[in-house]
Amino acid sequence: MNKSLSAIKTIVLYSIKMFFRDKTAIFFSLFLPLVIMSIFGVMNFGAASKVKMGIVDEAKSQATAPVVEGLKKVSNLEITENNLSIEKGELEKGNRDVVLILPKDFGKNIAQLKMGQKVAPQEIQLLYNNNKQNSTASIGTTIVNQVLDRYTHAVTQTPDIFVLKQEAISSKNLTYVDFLIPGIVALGIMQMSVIGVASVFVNWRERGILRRLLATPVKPRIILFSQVATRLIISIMQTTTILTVGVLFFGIHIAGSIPLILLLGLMGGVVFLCFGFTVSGIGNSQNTVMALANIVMMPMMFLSGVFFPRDGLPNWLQTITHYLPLTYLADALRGVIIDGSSMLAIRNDILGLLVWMVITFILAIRFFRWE
Amino acid sequence: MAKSSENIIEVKDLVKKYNGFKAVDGISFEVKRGEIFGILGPNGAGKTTTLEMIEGLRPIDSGEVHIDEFNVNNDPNKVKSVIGVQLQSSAFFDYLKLTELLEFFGSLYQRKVNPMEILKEVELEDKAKSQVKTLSGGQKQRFSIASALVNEPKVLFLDEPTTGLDPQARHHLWGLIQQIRDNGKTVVITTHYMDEAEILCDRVAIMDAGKIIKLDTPDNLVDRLIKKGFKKKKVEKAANLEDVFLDLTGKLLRES
Repeated sequence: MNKSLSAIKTIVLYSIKMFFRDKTAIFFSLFLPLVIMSIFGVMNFGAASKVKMGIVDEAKSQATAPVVEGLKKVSNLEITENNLSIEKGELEKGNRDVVLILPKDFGKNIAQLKMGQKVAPQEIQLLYNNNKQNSTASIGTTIVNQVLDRYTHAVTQTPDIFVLKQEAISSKNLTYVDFLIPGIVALGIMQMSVIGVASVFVNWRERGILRRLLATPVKPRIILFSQVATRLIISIMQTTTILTVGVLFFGIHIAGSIPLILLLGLMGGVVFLCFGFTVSGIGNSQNTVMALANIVMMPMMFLSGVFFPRDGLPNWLQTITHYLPLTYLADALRGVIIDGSSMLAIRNDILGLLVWMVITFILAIRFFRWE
Repeated sequence: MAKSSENIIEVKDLVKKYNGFKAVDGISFEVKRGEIFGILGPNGAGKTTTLEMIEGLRPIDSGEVHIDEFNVNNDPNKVKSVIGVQLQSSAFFDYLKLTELLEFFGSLYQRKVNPMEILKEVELEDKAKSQVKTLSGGQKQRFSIASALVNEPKVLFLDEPTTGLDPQARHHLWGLIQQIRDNGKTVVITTHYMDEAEILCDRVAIMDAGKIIKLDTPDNLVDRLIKKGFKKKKVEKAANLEDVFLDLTGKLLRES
């Protein structure tokens, strides 16, 4: 047993060495996920982006100060203050969604109002960019309305009749990157495991390397086990790299337990390694095996909610894709990383992965072959 | 157990069938300690299958093989630990240096090896830091032999080691194989080249259609044919075209 362990250690060590010298492997497993992440992360797809609001405060008085302060407190707004011509120019260039103009005589009727006189509301000008198809301008308008309303209430000291009690589902300010990164981790684990093991074994088989190894007294299961260990170790490195970049450069916050994340990574790794062993046994050449691997991976890549939530899929497709192994893995990782879910909270995903582990293990035993 | 200490390999009634077709059809022979033993025969004669059964790489349908004190049927792993194997088409991992590959193979035998010493034995010490894919054909074969020497085997199996090599590299490899034998190892070699067998082998078995049809020293086999009244159509001159080729191009190895 001790001797087997030392053999495994050496094989794993050299296999990792080979991996790090293989530039293609590095590209696909470490570099590509980071590139995808950066592209999608910078584009910040699907996120409710901030409303860019320009404020032209012509009064700069005690009356306008609370409005400006109030707006600055709204986290969905990105506020700039300039004079009218600059802000108008920016709006025309599409750099602003709305521009609020607070006139010199802003709040001219407050004094009258306080004395209990009836006053006509003062008109405030809000310019908006009507080229924009998205709803950011109207969000901006609503926010301005709300702030002005509150201001009015504050001035007239009339109480609100209704109060919207907001219950936060998640206390964090989620962006698309938060959604994306756990998906990228899951995708990376899948690709690393399926491609890694499938291409290595078919290559070794085709070139006679496996035969040469079997001509030594090493037991076949030690070779298999070493490859599994190697791939799992590399998967963990990959996961750590992606998450580290996510934390350092995209400001994601890992809410859940890191050991649980790694455990999920290992479980997913085992499922997809078994997939890899299976396809390496079904196909005869490097080309057919790679084609098979892609047939397995492509649908999952787009249907398992890696890049976009599955909510957008037709209902029947949502039902089917719910059972995909990558869906379980991505959902579980997202739960732990973003929402800080406990093991108990993601038990259904874990159960799904366990079932897939059994299925793919049986497939791997059935199809994997040395020759 | 090998009955006589003179024989290191004893093969008895060895059979391999594929779908009823007998690829190896009940062959028996012995290999003596310290000799170079050749297995000759046309393509499909069963040479490689025989070798692979002896090496424990292919299940034996019936018959027995003993190597040293071990029975291949019962103890394939013990046999594998006392033999060295160079396969007909053995490639090696990309991305590892020769020294690393030898250490890797050593670990498969649970052995610490001295890679430089082994590389020196096959004259590849100046390629120690290279990868296999950068080697020439002859260098690849020499490295393949080096990888078969990491466990200091008692028997070295070489399956068509000189196929595809230029005359310079072939002659060089012959020298290496003789040197390995002189160091006390037994060598079993298959080949298509009769000149190779004649120069290298102490004894040869000629196989055809899964059977050994003759086994003797190359000298005896030739003498017996001549005694039968065989005459070459063209009388050999004192030199042949290969001698001319080597005389013109020299014996220097052509490898970078």
